[in-house]
Amino acid sequence: MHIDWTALAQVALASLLFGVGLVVLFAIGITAWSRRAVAVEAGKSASPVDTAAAAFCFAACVAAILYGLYLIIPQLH
Amino acid sequence: MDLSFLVVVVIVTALVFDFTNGFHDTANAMATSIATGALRPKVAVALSAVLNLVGAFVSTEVAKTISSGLVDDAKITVPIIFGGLVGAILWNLLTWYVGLPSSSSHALFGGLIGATWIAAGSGAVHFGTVVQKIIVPAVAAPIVAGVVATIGTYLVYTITARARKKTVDDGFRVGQIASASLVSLAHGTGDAQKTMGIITLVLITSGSLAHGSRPPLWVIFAAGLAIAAGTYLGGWRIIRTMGKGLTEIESPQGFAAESSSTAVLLASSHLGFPLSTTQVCSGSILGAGLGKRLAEVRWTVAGRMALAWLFTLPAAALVGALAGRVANSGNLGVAIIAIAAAAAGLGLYAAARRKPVTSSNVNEYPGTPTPAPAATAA
Repeated sequence: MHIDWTALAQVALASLLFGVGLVVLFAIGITAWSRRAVAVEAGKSASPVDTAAAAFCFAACVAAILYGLYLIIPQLH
Repeated sequence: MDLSFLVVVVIVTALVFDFTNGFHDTANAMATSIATGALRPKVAVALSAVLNLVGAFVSTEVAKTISSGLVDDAKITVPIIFGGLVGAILWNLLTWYVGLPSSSSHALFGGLIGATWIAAGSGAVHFGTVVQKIIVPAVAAPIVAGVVATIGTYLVYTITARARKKTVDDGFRVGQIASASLVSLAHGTGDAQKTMGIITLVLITSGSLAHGSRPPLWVIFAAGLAIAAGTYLGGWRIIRTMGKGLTEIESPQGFAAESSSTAVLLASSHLGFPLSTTQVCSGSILGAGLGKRLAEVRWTVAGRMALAWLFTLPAAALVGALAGRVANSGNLGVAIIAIAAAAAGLGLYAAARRKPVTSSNVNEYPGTPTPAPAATAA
């Protein structure tokens, strides 16, 4: 019996990195988006920092989804 | 192509297993999206079904062995495969009836182990591999996924604490749809292909296909359609347990849970340490409950799940052993087992009909305060 603890540790680390990383990015994006929406509704102009932060975070999440698709679809490898 | 009675029965049984695999696992991808209202129940199962079907066509690289080395593959005969499938199907139906998620692949392996053990002796079962490929991953999966989801959920609530609630809820619902879709697609590429592998290997064993053949087109179609039909039917009883039973899920938690599941599943299948989808997704949902301050996790439900996982292998093995043994005696035995299994399945279905769980009451977990449906409010 051989249990590949190294592979398991790698899985745990990669999961932590990507799973938590993606969630954090999305949460930051949502928060920035929310600040932007609140400002716009109040009739003020949105801070470009919020807009840029939201755009960056959501773009990164889309990239993560595309990477996920790449991993799932064997024809792409 | 000259197919014996046994081969035809096994192919049908494999497709039935595939079907139960589909409705058993709908919950993994879709339970949290349904619970948070990110997707309406019918839309969720339809989306999941389509993605499972697509997944089946995308990945047709079937395994070269049926049991992945859990048993001596040279000793596996067609009646053993039949017995294993029957054990797995009955376990899937029983756990569906009591509303508990459990790994369909573990059930299948359990059935095969039991049937092989009886037919070829305990020497044909590789117990070391069972520990390595089943037991250790079964313990590791919920822990890894649970930890990732706990941290993710905690951070989500911390980061979005000052954001507007409506934006947060809506935003995470959109995110949930994306992550749930990835889980469904990954499921289709993995699980439909298992049935294709079984049918292909049975056809090879019976001499209908040349050695090393890829699955014929009709096999890919049949397996993909069976799993998609099962998924669309929706195992509502299990969806309810996972979406509402373990913990109350809000959309940020749902997103954290599904992202955690996606990350763990993709990492595990690409870093060579396969984990069961069911156990990963259940662990993630549990973690999503733990990660939110003051969220209630129903440990009795979690305990029942753990118990079901503990029994998956031995229970399926027992049925698999019995079914394989009787089937080995010839066509009459095969027919008897097929009829008995169908009767047991119909019995469970009839029992489930007495207290049905459907798309309309999937979000009402017994014993929890749920908003009264609009129709009865008057």
